[in-house]
Amino acid sequence: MLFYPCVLASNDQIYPVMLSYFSNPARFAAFARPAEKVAIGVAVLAVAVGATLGLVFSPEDYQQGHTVRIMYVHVPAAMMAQVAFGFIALMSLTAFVWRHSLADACARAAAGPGAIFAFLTLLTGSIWGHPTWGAWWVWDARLTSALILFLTYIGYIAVWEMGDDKARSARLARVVGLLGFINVPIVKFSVDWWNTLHQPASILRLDGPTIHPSMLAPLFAMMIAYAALFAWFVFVAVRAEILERRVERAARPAPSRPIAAEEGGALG
Amino acid sequence: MAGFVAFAGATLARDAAIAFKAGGGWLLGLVFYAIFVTLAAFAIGPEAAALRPNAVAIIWLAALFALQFAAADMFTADFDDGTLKVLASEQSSLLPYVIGKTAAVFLVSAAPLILATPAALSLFAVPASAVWSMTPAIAVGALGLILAALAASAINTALVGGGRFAAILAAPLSVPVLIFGVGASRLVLAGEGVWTADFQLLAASVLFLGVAAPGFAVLSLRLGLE
Repeated sequence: MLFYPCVLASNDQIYPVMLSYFSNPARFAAFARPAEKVAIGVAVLAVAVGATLGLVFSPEDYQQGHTVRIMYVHVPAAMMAQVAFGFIALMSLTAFVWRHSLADACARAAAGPGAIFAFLTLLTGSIWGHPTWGAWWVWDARLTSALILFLTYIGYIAVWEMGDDKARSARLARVVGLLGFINVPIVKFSVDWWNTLHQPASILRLDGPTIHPSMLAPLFAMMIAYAALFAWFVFVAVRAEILERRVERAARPAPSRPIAAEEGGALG
Repeated sequence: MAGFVAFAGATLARDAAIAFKAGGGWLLGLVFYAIFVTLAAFAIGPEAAALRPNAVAIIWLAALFALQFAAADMFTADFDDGTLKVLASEQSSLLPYVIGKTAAVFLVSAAPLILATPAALSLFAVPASAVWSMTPAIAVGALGLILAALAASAINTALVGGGRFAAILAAPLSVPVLIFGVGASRLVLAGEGVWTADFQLLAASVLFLGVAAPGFAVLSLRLGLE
């Protein structure tokens, strides 16, 4: 786990080293500035590789023809829509346990791109479904749970945007993030029971992938591209949030005595 | 434990008294349900052959919206007039309060709706011999729908003090109850009996919401009071 590389300290307490290190906004910003550039670089490079492999070198499907290439934009979007909500839940839990506002900022930053990924999943899936299944939309289990995931994103974003007190919105967004994360697999299970038409998983399987390597390579490239794009977006949004809070703090009248040192002090 | 039951019971008694004594507030959910069912019948048309297959779906949707409507503002008054603040500061836990509130919504809004369901089924040309068979499913499902609305309404109240925003949050939580509730109702009307797989999954979803929703509601109310 990238964000929880725990080490066993001498007093046998598991201590989240990286978490406490990056909980300092100044350190986070210092790390994010170069990391952003790496992320966007990886994203651009991976899109170039993935698009070239996917559009030129990968074969047509023997049944679907060229429309199979929609997979290279559809599957990574679906993956990242789910990963982003998992990230929101993880950050919500972190914010809930450690009461740290930077985790709230991370969760909020992931919501926008997550919702866009969920929407892209629905859109590209619909465009793919039309020639393949003969309908823009079918009430299949996976489509339905993707739709519910999108609605959950809308609800989560609404919590951030509706309240006029930002601190209160942040506290309630933690609850909604966790509740939504618990609900998504339950919905998935219930719509699975309800109706299923979508093909079963073909990449993550115990007996190895069932896709030919010539299709798997561009797919993985696009997955890396989407993931890097997501990371870039979160880095930029969190850094913008840190700067915004700094501006807000600077605009406020100075307190009668200094409350906390700039370095290592709490946010806001 | 005795304190827990007393607190929950007092909340239930107070809410029920308010609803039944003043202004006919308990009728609102039922009236909404009746209007929804009636208008749906107008939309579908008078033929029994068209009405009967839609009966279960319309009745469940009517119940879902009526109960969300009834539960949307269940915390607003207590939050606005400071009752909740007093309760939160003098009681060790708000869980009995939330459970009492849920029980009150069930008694005041869901019970009339459950009793009216056979009449609604009759309107949809379901034979009189079968109209009571759906009662267990709609009774269990109504509790689940209230629990989904409960968590959403607590978050909504804590965030902005009221309004219709709760429906956005409650919709994803209501999906499993709706799917299995409709499934169980269809099966029982088809003569498969009450204790079907769908009914068991409905009960499981409601049990899960019963564990999760009150806790999340308490958490949200506390965060809203901070």
